[in-house]
Amino acid sequence: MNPEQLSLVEAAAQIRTGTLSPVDYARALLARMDHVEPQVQAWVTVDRDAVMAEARKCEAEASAKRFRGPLHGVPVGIKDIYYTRGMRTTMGAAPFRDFIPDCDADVVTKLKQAGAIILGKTVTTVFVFLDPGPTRNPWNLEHTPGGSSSGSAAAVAARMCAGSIGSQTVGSVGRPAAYNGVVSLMPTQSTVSMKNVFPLSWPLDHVGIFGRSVADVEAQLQAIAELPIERSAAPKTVRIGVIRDFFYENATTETRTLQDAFLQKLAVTPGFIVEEARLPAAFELNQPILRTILRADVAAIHKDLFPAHPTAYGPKLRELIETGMLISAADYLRARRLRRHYQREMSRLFGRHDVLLTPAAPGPAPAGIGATGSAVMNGPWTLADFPTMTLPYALSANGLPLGLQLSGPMLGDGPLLASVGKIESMIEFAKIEKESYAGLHPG
Amino acid sequence: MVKADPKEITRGLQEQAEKLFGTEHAAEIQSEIEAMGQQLATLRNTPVDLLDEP
Repeated sequence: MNPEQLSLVEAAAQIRTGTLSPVDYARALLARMDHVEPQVQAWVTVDRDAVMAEARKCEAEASAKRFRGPLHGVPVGIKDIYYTRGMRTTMGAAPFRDFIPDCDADVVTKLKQAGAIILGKTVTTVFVFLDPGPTRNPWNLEHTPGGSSSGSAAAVAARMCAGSIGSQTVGSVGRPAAYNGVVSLMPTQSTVSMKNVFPLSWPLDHVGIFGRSVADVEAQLQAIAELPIERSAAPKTVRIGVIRDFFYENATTETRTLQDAFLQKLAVTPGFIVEEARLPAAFELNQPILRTILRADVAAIHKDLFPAHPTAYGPKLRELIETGMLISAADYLRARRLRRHYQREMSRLFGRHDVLLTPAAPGPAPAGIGATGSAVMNGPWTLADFPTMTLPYALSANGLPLGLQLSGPMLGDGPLLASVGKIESMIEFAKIEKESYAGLHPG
Repeated sequence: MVKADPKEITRGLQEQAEKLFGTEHAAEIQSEIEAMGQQLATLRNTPVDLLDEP
């Protein structure tokens, strides 16, 4: 197998046993980049010399059986809002075109401590909101990769790296993962530090992780988490609560049909219970709460930048800032307080279910790269601060991937990974992908 | 609790926007202001426990 086809945990394991050289691996990923990056445009900055220099160091250490950590010698992509010491960090925005931080984000520090090599910085939408960057979907270049973590998801899908870091404030990880056919995790917010990451909304911003498998995202989470994530075995029987009402109203017929077909298969498989879950009345508050917090935070964050660089802002972000400037402190605090009520009411859903399941996006990646698709399926879970994963499971009629969205209770990141790992074993997306992939990776 | 009226809230927001951005630009973002008026009315009309901290 070509090294660029390895999953992150496979590559890490082969480096540790000496069957894969970190230098050969880095070289293979850079060669892959030469082949597909001109079309996909997932990267803002790649320092090839620094990558190869670090790979040579990792190789020397591995030869001496010295390993920095579990990701020794594995190159990863970092969304271009995470500070990287000595490496440009642009936020996808003109005012930061030449900004070179003098410190690393905590996530970057932890990845380096775990032995990962920073392969480069991946494209974000402008200031992490909806106005898109240049990235295209590697499954079909005429379709959006989603956003705002556009480059991080597309880079993994196109086999330019096996793992990457993004971020989610509304739907910036779950949606791109679904559109690009990769696995993602948005952990509970307090699980991973967001220090030295350019914000969109302090209470809503979450780290995001992309990989080719549940094991890939778990390995990265373990590396960047503030405290070790409890590793738990999957329950003997995983109780899946399927939420249809709001989420099916917003999904295409094809999404509903394919998801129901998969759930029927799961329902007759030992080890799974599939039941309907009903949303509480408080669910209706999710958009008013989320939008009020988001507007006010964005207005505060861009208070000085926006008047100084008005032309750097796309129309969607500009509108959000301007309406945010109209929100009173009393309304903002009411939204923050009602969020607690929302979280409490939504948490009750886990009384009967281990995971909650919905579509990760209304349908496959929409055509065109002028917009990044809808986050309607993702925002309710980000607001709840429930750890949430996307798992690719099927292809639409036009050959683009579809994803399931699976959420666990707040701080239940470990059990969620275990349950979703069990569901993943029922899917064989790699096989679906290999047989059907019409895009840019050599499947 | 006096019921908050989304139209009244929108009207207040629109006046604020006109002062801040001028009449022409305020009109350009009017549809977003209307959506915001609805959202704020929903929040103001939902009882919140005093013990729920922000």
